Amino acid sequence: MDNISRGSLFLKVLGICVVLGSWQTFAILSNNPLIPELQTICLKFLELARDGELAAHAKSSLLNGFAGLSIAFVVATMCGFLAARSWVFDSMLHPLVSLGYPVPKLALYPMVILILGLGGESRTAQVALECFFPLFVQSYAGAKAVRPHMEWLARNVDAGSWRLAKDVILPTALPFLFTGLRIAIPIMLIVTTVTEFIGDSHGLGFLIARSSAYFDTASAFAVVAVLGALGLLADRLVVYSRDRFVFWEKGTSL
Amino acid sequence: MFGNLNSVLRERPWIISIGFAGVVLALWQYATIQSWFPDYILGPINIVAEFVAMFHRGELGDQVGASLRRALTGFAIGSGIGVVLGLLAGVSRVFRDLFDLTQAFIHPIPKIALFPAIAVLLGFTDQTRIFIIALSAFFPAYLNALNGALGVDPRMIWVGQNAGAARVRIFFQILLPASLPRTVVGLRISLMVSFIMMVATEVVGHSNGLGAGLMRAYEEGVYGEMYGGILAVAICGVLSNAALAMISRRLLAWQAIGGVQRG
Amino acid sequence: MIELKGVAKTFQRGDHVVRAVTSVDLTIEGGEFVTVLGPSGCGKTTLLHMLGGFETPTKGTVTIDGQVVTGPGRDRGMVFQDATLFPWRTVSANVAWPLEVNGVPKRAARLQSAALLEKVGLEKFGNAFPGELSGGMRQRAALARTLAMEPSVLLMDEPFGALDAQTREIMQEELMRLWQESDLTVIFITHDISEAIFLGDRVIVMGVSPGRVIEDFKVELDRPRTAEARNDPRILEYRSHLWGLLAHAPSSPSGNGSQIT
Repeated sequence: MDNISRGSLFLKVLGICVVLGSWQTFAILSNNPLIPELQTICLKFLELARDGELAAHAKSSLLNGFAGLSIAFVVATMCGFLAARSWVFDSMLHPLVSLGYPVPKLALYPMVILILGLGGESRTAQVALECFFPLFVQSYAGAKAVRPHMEWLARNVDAGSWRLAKDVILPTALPFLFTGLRIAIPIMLIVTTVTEFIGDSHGLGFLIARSSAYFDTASAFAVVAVLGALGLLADRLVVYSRDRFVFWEKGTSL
Repeated sequence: MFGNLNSVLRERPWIISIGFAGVVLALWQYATIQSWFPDYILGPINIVAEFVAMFHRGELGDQVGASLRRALTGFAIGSGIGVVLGLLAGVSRVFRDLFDLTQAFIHPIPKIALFPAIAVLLGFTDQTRIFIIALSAFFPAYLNALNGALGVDPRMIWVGQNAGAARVRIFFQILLPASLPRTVVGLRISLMVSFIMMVATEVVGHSNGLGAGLMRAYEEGVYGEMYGGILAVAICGVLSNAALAMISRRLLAWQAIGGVQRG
Repeated sequence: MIELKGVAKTFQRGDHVVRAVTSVDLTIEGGEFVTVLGPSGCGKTTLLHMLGGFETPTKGTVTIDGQVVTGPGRDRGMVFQDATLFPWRTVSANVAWPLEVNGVPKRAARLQSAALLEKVGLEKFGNAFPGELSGGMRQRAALARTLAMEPSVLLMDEPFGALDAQTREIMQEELMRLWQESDLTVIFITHDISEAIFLGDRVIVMGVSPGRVIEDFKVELDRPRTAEARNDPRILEYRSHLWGLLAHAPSSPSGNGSQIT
């Protein structure tokens, strides 16, 4: 390792140490039980992990979140491809997407609860609703990015429409679909957490809300850290799969 | 004859857009009149009527005012700091390295998860809500400004150094405009996130504003007001996004001229 | 007078060290037009960047009139291959920018910028944005912007490299005219043999792996030079000589052969 990268590593570690150090100092100086010291948060994390509560709630959150994300991904990809290929479909969907995209779909949550009840189904539906839009936009852009010459080549060898979709459109759109996932995952986590605040006592969001209600902020921060770790993990997973699946475009940023 | 119709519609796709939307809305209205849906689902005409009635009673104005103030204040603080720090991190390696790990750890946390704990500390106040909105708006702005600054052709900066321009001048007159296209993308994401956070922080805890209003309407079973609130949130989201889009088109007018400059 | 003494530049690329330029000694008199000719990868651009003060030599020194170069300065105006105009400013605002940096009031700066645009033949395009101009016009504007700094040395990095053949010749003649009317020193990088001969008093030929000077060649075409000079029979001689040099450039033992394309 040369001097530059060693210095850079030092600065990176220094940066995070300063942040954690200031938290710790602030916690000690404030002497307020609501501002927990770092080791208290770690202890609470171990406690929650040991009695299985953390795992159970995390499982609930992830199941609902990823179910919603998967539904949104499949529907959005299909709609995006169709809209990109058919101008009739495009003009039908256009008002919905351009008006719906900037609206926080969270406002529809009361309606979703009315229809599906306060359980996991509503959370899944709400995640799917919110994630649909960024995924659709990327899928549409991806299918539009097919170069005409490539399409002519496919026509030239008499490829059918299924083959065209599978061998030409999908590979072209693939990097876009991964970008969509990277945008949708943080949204999924936000929506899952909020809907669990007001849900039926399941999920990490509920755990945070309950701990906070009992003034146990240390547990709340521990769960927040777990959520952050899950988000980071999911994001790394998308980046890793992108590098594996879109191997011909290595090194380009998303 | 059908070929003719086809080409007429192809040139005017908005006929299909409006026609399709009209058919869907009409079917929806018809279905509610025929009571095919449960009675908590209102037809589009009833929703607009409720919205207008709420507007006249003046309750909507107060809710919109409270919500917009939160969302826009949070957005302005969070994205403003995000853009400045992002550009600084883009030009200074030391700065970038110092923030790198902290940013990597805090970025993936859904900031709304911090809301209950921080609310316990600071109370369920406007400040807490604005803080959470600002924190959420910070990251898209920071990351896009950073990438925008990193993507600026270094020779643009050299031109400035060659002319003997001071650092501050290079920052404001070269780096800022050169990274603007990417920065604006970040701002638009930040604005959208701010609106999601606006609703999210209002539906939890006792609050005023649109999110709280529609949650209360749901709990009390006053479905008309719930739909009116949803419509108001939607209008706020669409209008603010359109406003930002218009401002950025103005700022980036040079980009549209003659396409992207290459040589 | 510009002097390079034992100038060398190495880069760290991952694990191995790239020797971009090795030990260049060169003296350029004031008012000279020097072209630097070489294949890609010979370090000619790096050499120019060191003259401009944008990069610092790993070894050796660059001095101008006895002063060691430590950073960029208005005395050495740089023109890049792609014009690097600010796309968010109009052409005349681009040209006025270096003047504004120097504290010239806006109105006066615009007047001077108009005069400079006339000098490069762009008087009608002051209100256009760079995106609206052709490649040749953009280079004219970039030249005007650089002249606004009132440099004594002009450093040009393949400024006509991306232009079509015809525009290129016109630009060469215009540059010739501008230089002949001034007392500028010009150092002009190119990989085009004819361009190097037509423009230069001297052609510095550089070779690859590692980048170094292989010949300092004097062009004895008449001054002032105009388009007529292109028909001078000596040009053919010069061409074949330089072509031979570039094609058979010996590569150093550590190098991986000359790669001329």
